[in-house]
Amino acid sequence: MNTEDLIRDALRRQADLAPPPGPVLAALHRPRRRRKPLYLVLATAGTAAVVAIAATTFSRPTADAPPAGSNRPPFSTVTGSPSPTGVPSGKLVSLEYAPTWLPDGFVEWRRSLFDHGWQRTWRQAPPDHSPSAPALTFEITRGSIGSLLESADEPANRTTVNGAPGVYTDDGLRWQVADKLVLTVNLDNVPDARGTIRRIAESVRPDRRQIRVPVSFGGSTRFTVSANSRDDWTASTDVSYRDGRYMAMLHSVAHVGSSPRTVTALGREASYEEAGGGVLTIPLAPDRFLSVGGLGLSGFQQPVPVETLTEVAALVEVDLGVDLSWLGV
Amino acid sequence: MTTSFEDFAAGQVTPLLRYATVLTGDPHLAQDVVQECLLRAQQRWARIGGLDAPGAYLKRMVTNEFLSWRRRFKVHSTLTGIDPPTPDPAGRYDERDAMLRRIARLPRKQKAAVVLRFYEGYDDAEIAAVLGCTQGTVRSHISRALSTLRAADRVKEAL
Repeated sequence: MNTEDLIRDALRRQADLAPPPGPVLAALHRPRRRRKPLYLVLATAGTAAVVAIAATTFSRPTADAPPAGSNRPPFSTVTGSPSPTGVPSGKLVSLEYAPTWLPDGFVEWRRSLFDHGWQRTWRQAPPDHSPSAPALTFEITRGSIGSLLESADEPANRTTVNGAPGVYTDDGLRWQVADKLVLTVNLDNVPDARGTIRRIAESVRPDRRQIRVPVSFGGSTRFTVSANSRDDWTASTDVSYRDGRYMAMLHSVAHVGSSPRTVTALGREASYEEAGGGVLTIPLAPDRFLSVGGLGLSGFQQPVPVETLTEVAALVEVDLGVDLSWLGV
Repeated sequence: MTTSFEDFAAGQVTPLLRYATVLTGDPHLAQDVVQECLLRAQQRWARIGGLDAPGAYLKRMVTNEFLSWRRRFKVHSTLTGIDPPTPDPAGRYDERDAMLRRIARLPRKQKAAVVLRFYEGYDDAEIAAVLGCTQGTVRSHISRALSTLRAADRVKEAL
């Protein structure tokens, strides 16, 4: 593969990490969302995720893994029939590490679990998501910082964190906490932040708490939870199925387009919007909606038929009792 | 007839998010940038909606945000500066992520030119329109960027 083809391949891979469009669209309509329904558009591609929705009530479990025999609500899965038939999967993932000290006023608004590790973001409340606002990011990444240490152009940038080799970057501190495990603290838009960054980094401790993946497809544990407030959040995952890619989103605020059509999906009255490529929204429970659409490369595509999106929705697994006790905390 | 802002945003948000993710190297930062640009466009839609290519205008807004915010756009994506734990059998993981790390270290305008050429498929004239420079400057950006990116391959081969 020549250099130019490798560049194209690498950039396409990076593009696949793009976040879902729902939260951005929600923010555009936020002041009017109670009077005018939001418009969630997911450009469509070809995979269907099955969403199993349990008709059970849900509560908000703690972040700790439940002991055996606990009364914690089961992971809720949606099947293609009105009554759940699937076996709940309830994938649990560990937080692995977490900072135990944060600057005053920073609260957590976003969590992402990628194939290569975690990324968590704290901002000052109420959340200001503009790029100029102060933001703290903590990342856990599989890999090593060997080459970064070698290329550190100033000795002052090399350091240790609790004895582990590390290096200062422009806005943060990155260190090798264990073999093939790198931790990173970044603090953006805060002047003279190096001291604060070091204090945060030195406060990081192993965190064995486990949480349930809020939305999943095909056993994947990739997800992102982001929020505009504690009652307006979205949990999403990307779906690769057959020859196409989709986005599945569990969200707390109804997103209804400008010209929705009522359809039946998975035994429920749902909403289908053709504009923008097609999106299917299925109400699962009070303040719980599942939206499925495709990931495309450009807008104004032919809408994906509702039947295809229903197939996709039938394969997605969601946790209606998703633990969001960390939001805004 | 001018497209409504809602329809425009619905159709453009995903490609803008993908573009911004490639440009910034950070999906979360990309979301913030695109959200801010769309909010500004919403306020000015009476004018922007009447343009021949409002989508291209939004892309320029996103690009200008990236070019103008030096410190706040420092790339610290999870993959930058971190060597993968193991190479995948075909070596593609190694190569792609190594290339992403090299692209991330390019000067800002060179990086934008590379993204517009190799991700968006723009020609010199289109890149010049987005970056607000001459086509000659575009060719210079691309040439220098490729020289840097190919030099790393030559070093790797020599080893």
